[in-house]
Amino acid sequence: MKARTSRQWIVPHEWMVLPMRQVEWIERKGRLVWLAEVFSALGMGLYLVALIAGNWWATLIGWLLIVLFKMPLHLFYLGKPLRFWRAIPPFTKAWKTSWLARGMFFSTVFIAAGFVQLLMSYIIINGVASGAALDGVTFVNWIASILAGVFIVLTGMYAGFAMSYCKSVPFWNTDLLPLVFLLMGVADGLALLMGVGLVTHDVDIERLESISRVLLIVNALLIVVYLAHAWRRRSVAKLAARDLLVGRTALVFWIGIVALGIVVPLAISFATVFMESDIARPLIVAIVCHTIGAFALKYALLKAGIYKSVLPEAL
Amino acid sequence: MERRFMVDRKVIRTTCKSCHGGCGVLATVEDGVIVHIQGNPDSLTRGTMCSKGLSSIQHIDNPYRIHYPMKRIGEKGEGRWGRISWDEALDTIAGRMKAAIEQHGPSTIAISQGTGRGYNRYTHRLARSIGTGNIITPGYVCHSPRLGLYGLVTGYGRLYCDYHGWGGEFPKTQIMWAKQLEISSADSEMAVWFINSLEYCKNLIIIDPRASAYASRATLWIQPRPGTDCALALGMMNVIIEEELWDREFVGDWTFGFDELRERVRDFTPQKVSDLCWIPREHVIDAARMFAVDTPGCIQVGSSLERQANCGHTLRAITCLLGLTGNVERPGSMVSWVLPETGLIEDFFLELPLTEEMRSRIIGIEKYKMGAARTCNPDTMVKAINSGNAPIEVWFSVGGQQLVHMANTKEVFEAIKKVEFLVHVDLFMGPMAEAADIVLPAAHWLELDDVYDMHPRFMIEAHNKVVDPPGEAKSDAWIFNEVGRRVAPQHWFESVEDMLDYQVRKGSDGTMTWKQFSERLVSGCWGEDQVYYKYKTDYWKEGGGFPTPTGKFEFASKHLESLGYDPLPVFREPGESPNSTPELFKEYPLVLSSGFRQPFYFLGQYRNIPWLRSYMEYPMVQIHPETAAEYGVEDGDIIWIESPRGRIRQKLRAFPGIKKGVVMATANCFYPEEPARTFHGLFISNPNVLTSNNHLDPMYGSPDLTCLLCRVYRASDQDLKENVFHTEQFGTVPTVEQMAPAERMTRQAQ
Amino acid sequence: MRWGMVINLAKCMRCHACVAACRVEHFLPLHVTWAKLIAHEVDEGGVVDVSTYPVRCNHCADPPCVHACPTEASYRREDGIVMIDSDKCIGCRYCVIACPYQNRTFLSKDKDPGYFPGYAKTGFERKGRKLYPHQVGTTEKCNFCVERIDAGMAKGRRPGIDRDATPACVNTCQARALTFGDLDDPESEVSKLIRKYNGFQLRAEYGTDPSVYYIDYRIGGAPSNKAPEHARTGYNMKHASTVDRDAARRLGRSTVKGEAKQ
Ligand SMILES: Nc1nc2c(c(=O)[nH]1)N[C@H]1C(S)=C(S)[C@@H](COP(=O)(O)OP(=O)(O)OC[C@H]3O[C@@H](n4cnc5c(=O)[nH]c(N)nc54)[C@H](O)[C@@H]3O)O[C@H]1N2
Ligand SMILES: Nc1nc2c(c(=O)[nH]1)N[C@H]1C(S)=C(S)[C@@H](COP(=O)(O)OP(=O)(O)OC[C@H]3O[C@@H](n4cnc5c(=O)[nH]c(N)nc54)[C@H](O)[C@@H]3O)O[C@H]1N2
Ligand code: SF4
Ligand code: SF4
Ligand code: SF4
Ligand code: SF4
Ligand code: SF4
Ligand SMILES: [Mo]
Repeated sequence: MKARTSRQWIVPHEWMVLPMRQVEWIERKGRLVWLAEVFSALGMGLYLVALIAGNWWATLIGWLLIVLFKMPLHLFYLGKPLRFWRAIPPFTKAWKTSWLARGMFFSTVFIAAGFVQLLMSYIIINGVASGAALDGVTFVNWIASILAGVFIVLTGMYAGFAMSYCKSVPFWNTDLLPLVFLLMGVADGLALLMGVGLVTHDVDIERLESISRVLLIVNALLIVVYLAHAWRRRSVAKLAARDLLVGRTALVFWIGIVALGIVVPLAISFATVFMESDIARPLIVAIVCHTIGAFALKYALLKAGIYKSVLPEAL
Repeated sequence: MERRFMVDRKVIRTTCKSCHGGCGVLATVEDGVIVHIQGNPDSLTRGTMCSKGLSSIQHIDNPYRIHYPMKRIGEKGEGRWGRISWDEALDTIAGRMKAAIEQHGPSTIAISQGTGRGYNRYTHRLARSIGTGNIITPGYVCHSPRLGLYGLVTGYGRLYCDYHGWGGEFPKTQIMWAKQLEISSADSEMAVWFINSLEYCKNLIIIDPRASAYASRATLWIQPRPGTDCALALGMMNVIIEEELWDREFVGDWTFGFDELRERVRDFTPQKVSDLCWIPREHVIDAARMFAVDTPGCIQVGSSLERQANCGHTLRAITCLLGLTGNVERPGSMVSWVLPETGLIEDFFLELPLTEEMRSRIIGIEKYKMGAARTCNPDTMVKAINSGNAPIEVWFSVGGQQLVHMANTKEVFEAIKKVEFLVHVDLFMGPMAEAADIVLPAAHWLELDDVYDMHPRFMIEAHNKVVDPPGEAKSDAWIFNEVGRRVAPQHWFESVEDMLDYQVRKGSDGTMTWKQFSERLVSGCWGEDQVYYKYKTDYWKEGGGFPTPTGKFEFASKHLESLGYDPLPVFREPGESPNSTPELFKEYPLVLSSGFRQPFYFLGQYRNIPWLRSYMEYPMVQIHPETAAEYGVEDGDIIWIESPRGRIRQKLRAFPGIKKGVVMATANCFYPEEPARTFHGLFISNPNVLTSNNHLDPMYGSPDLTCLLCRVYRASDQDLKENVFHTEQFGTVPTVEQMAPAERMTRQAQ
Repeated sequence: MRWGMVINLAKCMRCHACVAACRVEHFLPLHVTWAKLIAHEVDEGGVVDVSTYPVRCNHCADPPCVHACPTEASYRREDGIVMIDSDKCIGCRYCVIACPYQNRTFLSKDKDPGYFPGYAKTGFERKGRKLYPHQVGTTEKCNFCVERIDAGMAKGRRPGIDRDATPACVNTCQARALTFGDLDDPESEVSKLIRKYNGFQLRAEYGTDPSVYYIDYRIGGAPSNKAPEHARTGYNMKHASTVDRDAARRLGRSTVKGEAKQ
């Protein structure tokens, strides 16, 4: 009902008295942040899993998700995009305290290391180099892989740290948040890697399936723990949790995160165990659902950013 | 960089009249543009200003302003206007006035104004100079009853709270009675002075059904049922007399009628008052003791008491309470100020006598002998117009939105549409302008030179022009003088400057000119120059005493008696109340009051000033959360408020600070952004749609605006579809396409 | 030196003047406000509290907004004022989110539609663009009127004591609910008020150590109603009254009386 939404910018009656939600990172242009964060998770998961599984094409796609989606989306979101370099060390010393500056640093290192890793492994795989050169390439690849592996994890997690830094948003203000970012991201990566495997046919889908099954269960538990934790805090964190479970974001939570993100993929995953023949179709459904779940998760998390009132007696 | 050196930057000292206050102002002008505004530290308001004064910067270049004289070319409310020249406008007005004088007599001309805006003396002078006593002002619901009834004990003198400390003391007990002085700076009083004096106050008593800013921190906060304040005052006097707490010396030596008063208050026991006012009986006793024992004390009387049909006696009772406790003319109590050297600014109109002939033709004078003595009774006038005889031929209206501010909007609307020839002078198009035949553009206080006298007190101040007015807008002083010159030239002046010289002429031993005064900025009598205990000197009367028939402070008023009124205060229930109309109360189970000011609006004004509109977009009605729950309405809902006269919509604010069972609606609201055809949303949220003009105060003719009955319920989604509650853009000024044709005209005329 | 403000909840009467003064002082765009008010209204078992919390940037000693900022556009000066360098700000809004007090505003284009959207800018706005440019795409907030403090101190004025070195909102407050001064100086007015009335900070548990303190008490109970010279109306004026003393003596009993008796 439009008539009842007040467009006042200052509503002394309501402002910071009723719990307020953050809007900058989810509403209007803030949706870019949400999308960028989804691609962080997808890129991180896919690159990491693919790196471990040694699937070159999948690492490339993971890297590209970061380079072509996450970073540009973040960039477009900035109020002053042309000044983006100011956030990247060494132009700033803010990495000492700022998770965002650190994030920029992690992403930059990852992009560079990932590029080297992709290049080196391409050389190795295609036998472009040989002899001593090959040894060198292998060594560089080894270093680059480690660097890229470590920094993609950091790239995928830093937003979790950035958000959990906010003391006034109790729902975020917990060490569990970066862990959620990591584990959910890896699960996304597994799903995507299976997708890649369906095309390239060089992936052991069954193994991935079994890992994914475990991870999905772990994640489901993590979400339960997370919400229970929020619920117990008797503050606006509880309000945020209630918002997710029965409130304004309930649809996104139950359908997006729970049903599509976890239950359906898990069900399909169990079902495929007993399936004899063509698992491609159900698998595609599972992957799509799971990816939608990734979008829903970040959406719900950002949406649940509710501030505590600043008045002393209030919640 | 070089440009910075070349800018022409100067600071101009002037006076704010965005409310009644008159704060000292410093405006910085750069190349003819105001770039900064702040309080003047070398002023009585110590460099402070409120949100209205500061935001007056948005009056400058405000696209909503009226730029040129215009005449209506369509029907009333159609909003079609044609630009005319000042000469054509003024000649037409003068012509119509002269014709009316010739054919029907000067009393068929009405001169009206809104609340005081520093031009009151021009309104009255214009009326008297052309021979009419039919001046229409909201004074009878605003300030006049107080002044008149204080006058019964102090002659012309008014009584003001002495929280200035000039006599060495601040009030020990202060009663804020139906007033929010801290935000209203009303009636010759200023928030700054009041709040400063609270540092030295022992008891702060607030009598208000609704929490004003200091209520929850006051020593005692009493929440009476609206409209029962007279009973409370009588009850306090009962306690004071029963407990023998009255001021022996003052009552013994200087008062008249104590025994009658004692008799009158005898049965107003705390228990009876408690039942009438819906308050704990202890509150009556505590308030009485504090006020009688911890003296000196003063009572700040708010105009919510004057917007009631028993206002005369309520104020009589309060005045008696002051006398009983000796809180008159003593430092820190209620004092009548000595005037500035420039004299009583009202001399400017008092010097033209109100003749017996004029007086006899004042509308309402037979009935409302106190209220309709110098101005007419507007409600009687409305009834007269509607009953078919046309007592008013020409209505010259300067500021003021009678359409909005008078009781029973529907009847007022009918009447005003019937007026033959109506002129309205204003800064913006509003309901009155839409009903007018000619609209004249007025200048803002930042754009004019004038003497400022907001309620004559101990000083007058100067408005100094800071920037030019837009288009052809002119100061009200200029407009009055031009009309006056055309109709009654003998009483008006060559130029505005001459007129201003004339007004300040008594300053500095009769030699002061306007130029000198405008430099000086203020002429006042304060500090050691004030005189206390005037009744002990021959200030009022040779040999001492009060300027009353008995020479005493009159508990029983001889003057009222001679006019046929009860000389002592009487409590009467409001026209509609749980006690006076119990049947109606079953249908309309809530008590409605519609008097409370917002700090950032001034009556109907400033909803077109974006900075001010941002603080409260829609008129808001306060109801206690429990009462709201009982009637199925919730905080933030748009609700209907309904009385036997009609219904309006406001936004509900569930407010724990209001008495349960009471509904407090925002008054004086219309929507400048709504189109002309709706008279700018005149009927949407204006509580006067609900008020009645049938039950009036016998002395002053004041209607019950702050004590009625109503019911409330949620507005359906369908109801809300009407434009007003969802304009797409925040912007309070519509785009040219959305504008009423009237505004479009003015804009295009530029 | 650490500039700070004490806000008196007993005095604030929700008049919005501080909000307005700040808008004037900094030519704020239509939908931007640096100073805000929070209404606090509760009824706890019949005990009603109606208060107003004026809020603005707390200039925290340990400011999360500064820690969050990736570009060092947000920084804290020696004197405790937390600033944003709008030439460095990239508009990432992390500080907007990280400020636990919600005191920062990102200036998006739609918050600056002009005072009268659809119409020409007013002279005040046009001048403002030159005198006080607001960069769309960056974040802003209350700066404790640093311009006034710096310019005033350069002229030897003392913030919190002399008007031209004191924040605009403090100067304009009719209730004198705002006091400005040096928190490090135990003799400053702010320090004294904090001691006398047990000043508290908003959400001290965040560990941000705000430089804005609040005090509260009941009105009334003053030990004496004697009026010291400095508290009397008009004491601040160069001329105590415009009536010259001799004339006053003469007028006091004769002329004035005649005029009063109309
Ligand atoms: N229900 C209810 N009704 C009430 C009241 C209430 O509390 N409740 N209050 C009553 C009281 S106390 C009063 S005083 C009246 C007030 O009522 P009014 O004084 O009529 O106040 P407004 O309705 O605001 O009318 C003000 C008009 O004057 C114009 N104006 C302002 N300044 C100037 C100026 O300098 N020159 C010119 N030419 N025009 C100017 C404004 O633009 C505006 O159009 O309302 C009364 N009516
Ligand atoms: N900012 C601002 N200042 C103004 C004005 C404005 O519009 N805005 N208007 C000016 C004008 S014209 C006037 S007349 C004055 C008025 O200014 P004040 O005299 O201060 O009056 P209000 O604020 O209208 O009402 C004061 C209080 O009366 C209470 N009240 C309502 N009904 C009753 C009742 O029956 N009994 C008691 N005891 N209390 C009651 C209300 O809750 C309210 O808090 O302010 C002037 N100053
Ligand atoms: S209190 Fe009145 S006179 Fe003073 S600044 Fe505000 S509007 Fe102007
Ligand atoms: S100016 Fe003073 S009284 Fe008014 S809202 Fe601000 S702090 Fe409160
Ligand atoms: S109040 Fe907010 S913006 Fe101000 S210094 Fe503290 S954290 Fe930063
Ligand atoms: S919006 Fe500007 S000031 Fe805020 S964190 Fe980003 S770069 Fe720093
Ligand atoms: S200190 Fe200055 S910048 Fe801060 S709120 Fe007050 S006026 Fe605005
Ligand atoms: Mo009024």
